[in-house]
Amino acid sequence: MIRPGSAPVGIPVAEKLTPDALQRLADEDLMTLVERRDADAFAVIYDRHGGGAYSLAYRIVGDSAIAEDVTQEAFISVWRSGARFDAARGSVRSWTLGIVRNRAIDALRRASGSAPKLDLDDDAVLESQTAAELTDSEAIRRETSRRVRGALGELPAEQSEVIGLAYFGGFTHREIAEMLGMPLGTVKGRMRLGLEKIRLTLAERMGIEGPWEVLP
Amino acid sequence: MSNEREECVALRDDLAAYALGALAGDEMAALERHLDSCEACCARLRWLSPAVDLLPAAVEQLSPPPRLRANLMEAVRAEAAPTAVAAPAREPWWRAVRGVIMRPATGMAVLILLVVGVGAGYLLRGSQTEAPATQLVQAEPLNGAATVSATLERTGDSATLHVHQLPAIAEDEVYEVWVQRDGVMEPRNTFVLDQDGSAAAAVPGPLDGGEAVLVTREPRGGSRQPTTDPILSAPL
Repeated sequence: MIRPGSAPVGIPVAEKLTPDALQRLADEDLMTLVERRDADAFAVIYDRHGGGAYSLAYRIVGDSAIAEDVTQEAFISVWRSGARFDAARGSVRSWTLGIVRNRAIDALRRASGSAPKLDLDDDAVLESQTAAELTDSEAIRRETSRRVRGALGELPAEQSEVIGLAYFGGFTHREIAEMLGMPLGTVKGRMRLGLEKIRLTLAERMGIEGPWEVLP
Repeated sequence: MSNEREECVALRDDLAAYALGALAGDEMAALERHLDSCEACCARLRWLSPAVDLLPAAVEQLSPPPRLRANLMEAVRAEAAPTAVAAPAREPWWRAVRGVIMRPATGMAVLILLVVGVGAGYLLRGSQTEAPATQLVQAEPLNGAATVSATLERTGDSATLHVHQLPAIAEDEVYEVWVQRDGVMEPRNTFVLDQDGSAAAAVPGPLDGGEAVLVTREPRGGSRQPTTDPILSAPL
């Protein structure tokens, strides 16, 4: 992997890579090119993560037009602030989806000014594409999502509830405590227990990359 | 150290809330100050992060509308290469010069400069490097676009394409400029029309060795290969 700010190994700075060559680069290497204002490299980043970003935005804001705006704003931010990406702090996907989440939460607060819906029926808006019509990457993305949702369904409901309210709803732990009528410590404790359970069992099962050492 | 350890244990719940983005501003700032000096808590946060990273994958996966990519790439390409967007219509150089000369205060100064300049040019003749010459080439309408008129103003290895009376296009379309070389179409630029159906589009080089500059209608953001027949062609 190439750290931001350095030239990809074996790629002269002045050389324009072909679309096939760009497709073979890791996200982190593509970000090095994005930092140099390479629009084609950026297009590959979008093609890899735009679907997940739009899906996350829709899950949070519950409106396809706003989700579209949020996704576009977030990727423009990625394009303009690519130099701020730090591979040591996480993957390109995590960084990008973090920007999408923040923008979506902002949009949600601007649009509603009230508690967001958290029981959205995503299936109702799922486009009527059959598996045969999907590209390979989209089919894999949807299959991964199905498996992850099934795995998260194993969490105790009280833990998944506070995690969902925080992550997808954008509520602070104080707001959640007030909403659910429970002590702050209980809310934060459930967040920790839920995340630890995901971390220890579900994430490993799903093959998510990350530091896997078990903390004492 | 034992106090520090106890503090870290007490902050485990806060770390989970922080990882989920659920701490308010003051609490978040306090925790971040602690993280600045506590490797143990940083390690725990790194340990938790894959669990948070998993959450976006849990939502139902949708296909974003194609226009999202087209709009995004149009904006990005405009910033990636400033010359790749439609250049504003330029005032002809002689009109600008005439405007300056016609001002009384500058008229005499210009006249003096002209005399001095002609004299100096005569004395220095043969030792000056000539500026690249500008060539004007009339473009030929193609595929029934009879009303279209266009002129290619070439200076050195780049050019500006001035078009008039091009057909209006939909909001999700652009015109795209291509350079044909050895039968291969090389994308150069996209542009949209002014209200009167005209535009001046930069045609970045290299042009040397090219056969013609052509224009097609394409989806917003442009295409890597033409998707419609060219409506005009200017020979290089």
